[in-house]
Order: sequence, then C-alpha cells, then structure tokens
Amino acid sequence: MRITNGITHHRLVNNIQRGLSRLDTYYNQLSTGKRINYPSDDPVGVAIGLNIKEGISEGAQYKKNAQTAIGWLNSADDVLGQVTAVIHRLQELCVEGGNSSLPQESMNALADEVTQLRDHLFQLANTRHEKRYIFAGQQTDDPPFLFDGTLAVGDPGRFQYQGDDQGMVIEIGTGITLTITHPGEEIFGTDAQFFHDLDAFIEDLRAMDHATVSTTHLEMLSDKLDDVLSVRSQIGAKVQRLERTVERYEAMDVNLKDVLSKIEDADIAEVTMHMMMRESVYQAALATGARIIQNTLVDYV
Amino acid sequence: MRSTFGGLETTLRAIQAQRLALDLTGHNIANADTPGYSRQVARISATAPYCVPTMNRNTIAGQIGTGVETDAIERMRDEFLDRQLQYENSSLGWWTTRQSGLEQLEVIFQEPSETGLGAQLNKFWSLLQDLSVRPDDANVRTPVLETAENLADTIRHTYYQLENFQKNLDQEVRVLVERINSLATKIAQLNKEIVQVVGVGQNPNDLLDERELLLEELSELTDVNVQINELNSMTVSIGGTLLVSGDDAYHLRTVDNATTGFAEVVTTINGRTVDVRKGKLASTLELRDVDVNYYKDSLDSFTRTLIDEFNAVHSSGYGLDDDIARNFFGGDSARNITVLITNPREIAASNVPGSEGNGLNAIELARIIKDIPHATTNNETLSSFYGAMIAKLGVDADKADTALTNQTMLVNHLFTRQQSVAGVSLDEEMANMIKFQHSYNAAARMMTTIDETLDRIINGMGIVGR
Repeated sequence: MRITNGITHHRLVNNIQRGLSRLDTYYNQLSTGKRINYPSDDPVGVAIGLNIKEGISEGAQYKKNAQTAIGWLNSADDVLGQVTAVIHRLQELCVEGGNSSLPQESMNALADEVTQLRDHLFQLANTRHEKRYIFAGQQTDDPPFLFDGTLAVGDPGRFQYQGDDQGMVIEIGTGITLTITHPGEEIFGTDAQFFHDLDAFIEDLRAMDHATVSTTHLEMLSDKLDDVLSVRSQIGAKVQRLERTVERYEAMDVNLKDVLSKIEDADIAEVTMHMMMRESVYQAALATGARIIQNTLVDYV
Repeated sequence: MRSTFGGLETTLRAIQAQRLALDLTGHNIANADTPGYSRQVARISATAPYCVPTMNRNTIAGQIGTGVETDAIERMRDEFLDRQLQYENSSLGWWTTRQSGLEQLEVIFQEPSETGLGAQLNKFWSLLQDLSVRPDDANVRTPVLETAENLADTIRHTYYQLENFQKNLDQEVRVLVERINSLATKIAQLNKEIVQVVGVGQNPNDLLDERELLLEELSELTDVNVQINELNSMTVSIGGTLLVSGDDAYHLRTVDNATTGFAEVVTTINGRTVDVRKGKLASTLELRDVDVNYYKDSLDSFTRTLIDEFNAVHSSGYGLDDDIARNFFGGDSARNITVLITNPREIAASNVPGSEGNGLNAIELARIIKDIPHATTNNETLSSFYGAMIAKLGVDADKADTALTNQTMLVNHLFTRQQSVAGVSLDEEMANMIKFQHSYNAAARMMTTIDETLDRIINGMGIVGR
C-alpha cells in the first residue's frame, strides 16, 4: 500500500484519540470508584444492580420495621413483667386475707395495700412507649383505661376501656405482616373487668369475707396470671421470630452489598493496571507522533 | 529531410513538458493538506515520430523521434472506493447521531445514581413503610409528603426534558434539511462547470475533487444514490427522490405535521415524503419519532399507573382527623402529576376511620410500588417496570456505542485506502521534483548544445581565409 503523509497523520490522530478515550474510561472509573456510570456501560449489570439495590433497601426497611417492633414488644414485656410481680403480691395478700383469724385492722391494712397495687396496675395499663399507649389497640393517642373515682364501686363507669380490640400491624417481609401490640382488654379483661374485680376484692377484705377472698378472688387472680403469662409467652415467641428476621436481613444485606459491589464498583487494582498499560501505549503514540510528523524528504533535499 | 531547427523544437517541447510537471508538483505540494484533494499527474508521451510512411517520403533513416508532449493532467482517484466510502459514511452519520442522542437520554434519566427516579421511588417506598410502623407520628408523615413532592417534581422534570430534547431534535431536522439543500445547490453548480470543462476535452480535476468532498459531506447527512454520466455530470437522489440532476437542484422542504407539529421532510418536486433511511437526518427522525416517544410513553404509563393505583388505595383509607376519601396525587400524566395532599394528617395510613395507630393502608400503598404487578405497566411492578426501561436504554446505548466504534474503524480504513491512492506524499513529490528539475536542466543543456552547433554553422563556416 502506498503510504502518504496524510495517512500517517490521520492514523496518528486517530490512535492518539483512541488511546485518550480509553484512558478517559479508566480515569472515570477510578475517580468515581464505579465500573458502571451509565446504563450503557453494562446494561445487564445495571438491571441486576437495580434489582439488588431494591433488595438492599427492602431488607434495610424490613429490618428497621422488625427492630421497632422488638422495641415495642420488649417494652410491653417489661410492663407485663411488672404486672406479673404485682399479681404475685396480690396472691400473697389474698392468701393472708383468707386467714379467718385476722382482725379488722389487719384486713384494712391488706385492703389498703391492694388499693395501692390496683392503682399501680392502672398506671401500668396506661403505659406509653414512644409517646403512644401500648395497650390501646389502634387508638394509640388516648389513654386506654379511664378511672372515675366519684362513681360507686360496681358502677361500670368507674373503670372503662376505651381502646379497641385491634393490634398494631407491621410488615416484616414482602406480604408478611405481624401484629405487635396486644389490646388492653386482652390482658385486663373486657370493660376493664380486672379493676372491677380488684374493687370487689378490696370491699370483701374490708368486709372480713375471708371465704370469698380465699376462693373467688384467689381463683380470679390465678386466672389473670394465666392470661398475662399467655400474652408474655406470645410476646417472647414474636421477639424471637423478629430477632431471627433481623439476623436474616443483616446476613442478606452483607451478601447483597457484596454482589452489588462486584457488579458496580471498579476493581481499583485492576483498573489501575489497565490504566498504566493504556498510559504507556498513549505515550508511545505521542512519542511516535513527535518523530514521524516532522520527517519528510523536504528536510533532506 | 529534417529541418535545421528541428532539434530546437524537440528540446523546447522537453522544457515545456518538464516545466508543466514541475508546476504540477508545486500544485500537489501546495494542496498536500487540502481536504478532498487528489494528487494530479501529467500523462506525457513521445510525440509522433518523423516521418510517416508515404509514397513520397524522405529517404533518410527513420523514424526519428520529435520529442515529448503532455496529453492530459489526470487526478489519481479510485471511483469505486469513493462510492463505498460514501455508502459507509451514511451509516457513520446514522450511528454518530444515534450514539449522541442515546447518551443524552442517559443523562436525562440520571441512572444509576442516588438522585434518579429509581432512588426516589425507593425512598418513597421506605417512608411509606415507616408510616405504616408509626402512623400516628407527625415526624414520619411530613417526610412522606416531601418525598412524594420530590418524586412528582422529578417525573415532571424528566418528562419536560424529554419533550425539550424532542423539540431540539425537530429543530435539528430542519437545520439538516437546510444543509442538504445548500449542498445540493453547490453540487448542481459544480455539475454545470464540470460539464463545460469536459465539453472542451479537458479534465476538471479540482472541480471534481470539490464535488466529491461535497458529496462526502452530503452522504453523512443522508443516504444518497449517485450516478455519473459520460459528461461527468452527477445525478444525486435520496431513496428514489431526485435531489440533483445536471445543473438543477430539487430542494427538500419541511412540512409541519398536523397533529405533532413536527417537521416532515418532503420534496419540492411533488410534495411527497422523502424516504430517508440512513445518515444523520434519518437517525434524528428515528430518535425524535421512535426512541424519545418510547421513553415518554413509558414514563407516562408509569406515572398514570402510579396516580390511579395510589389514589384508589388512598381514597379507600382514612387520615387522622376525619373519614373523607381523598386522592393523593393530582393530574393524569407525567406532564402534570402533582401531590394533592398538603396536610400530613390527611395521609390515609389507616384502613379504619379514627384509628391513629392503624398503618394497614400505608402497607397497601407501599405494595403498589414494589409488590403488585399492574396491567398498565406490562404486568410488572412499578419499580421493575422502571428498571426494565433503564435496562433497555442501556442496551440501546451500548449497541450504538459499539456500532459507532466499528463504523468509525471501517470508514477510517476506507479513508486510508482512498488516501493511499489519492493522497499527496511529500516524499514522492520531492523525488519527482528532483527528477523533473534534472530533466529540465538536461533539456536546457541540450538546447545550449544545439545552439552551439548552429553557431558553428552560421558564424563559423564559409569564412575560409577571411
């Protein structure tokens, strides 16, 4: 082939241009740290990357949901632990009150302590976590239990439940929901029956009704203890499940991020190597250019 | 019998031929860098010898040569390569425009990034999930609205950019038609001049180079069909529509489409649409009418699905303060999507009226984005529909990148081959220059010798004894 100065020049410019454009690719990868900067850099990688990112953000969100749920369940369990302790103490008082040799003053003292414990339970039933009433069902803005001391014992208006029978529901996986709160009536009885029962307990103590105290009320307390323990065991099971869920999402997160990094991130060592190689080729092209551009026969004749 | 001064004449011819060759070398060197220039060479041959055989011919030994003459000045050019280059140039023009157009679309969508529509959709989903967990928390409700506003803004802005890009492409079509017309006029003018020169039996080398250069430029803009007649007049047509014939240029014209308002390319001959298939013009038309429309339509389907599905679920749920059914998004397309809800307490997170701790409807809202396939988005979820759209853009742009690289290499190769024939080699010209210079010098020396012999005859003879 006949080579002219134009061809040499054209090729040189092309080669320098191509070298520079390849170098630019690697510079870009190094400076952004990303192998993929536009969809066209790797269309398949971009599609997979988008899916993985979705998985990562879903996992992170569900993990966050589960952790919030664990917080609530733990705080409910904490409260129910206290409730359990109070019921144990009530049972002791009940056994003591059943002793028919106890004089009126002692029975009054017992009744006073039960009143204190009843008020404490009432406070526990209106516990708030993160500014919301945890035993109010879905009516989380208002205290679930109301007490009107002006009404007589036995009046249904004296203790009232104004929450609902729904629990709070959260999503912990695609389409997987979990009820994470227990409405107050599940624990303290429909229409706050437990508090009405405690009222009757106090009345019977003051009335020296040893028989009723040691039978009806003792039974009532042990039934209540069963209710509370049953809710606590449910809570325990849910916390365990949620903790496993969190662990699973954490493991998944690490794996997905690893895969995403392999797809999207530039391998710095590899890119640097490529870049060095391209740089030397580019410099060779420049050096050759400097030599061949100036020399023609014109320089010698 | 030969003339006394025959030798002088022979030598004069040599001097003239070498002078002309030297002048041509000068012309070649001067145009070594001129785009489209083909090197020119003088075709020289020996003149008719003396004498021709006739009844009363001379009786001297024969035949004897009478010197040299220049027959023609030719340009070195491979016509076949020209046509090949012109053909491939149209493809190069197509891919150049397509690659840069798709690159602009990639910039419009800003993917993959932390700020693109995909990332905003993810964020919106996360906040809806947060809302489902804490439906009674004002600190969660406000960000949901803000992110929804951002999402709507991004959709509208992206759509606006697509429309703008489409308008720019339409403008580009009009500019390209103007350039094609201007090139056609110049080619027609050159046809006229070339035919005049060919008519008197000469070679219009520089005019041919100029016309070939114009054609090269034209072929980048559109696919062209070229025919050259015996008078070297060039007929150019585009997909069956005549553009240049002889010294007449039949211009193209743009007509605004009645519905879209975009330019359609028609011929001024009969107003019919011109069937352009390659080159920058066809590529610009394809980007404007097919590609940008695809992304506009996809974004529109995506947005309409988002609006309709979201509103259906949202209006079936309840806000914190009342049980009025409200739409969440306003508008009905990617052009005009807005967020209607302004009070964060009105976001319907609950599926039961007056239940501030109920986030079940927020879960349903979140599901619209990532879990539920919609018929209006090819039975895919909103987020995977969007992902597929970006993947298609990637595949298209990648294909254009590769095709452009290959086509550029092919055209470069053809250009090199054409240059190999037509290009000026300074080394060669230098060698020729020395050759012609020596020939010239030798002819001049010959003339001196003849001069001296004549001097001997005229001034030195017949003067014996003087």
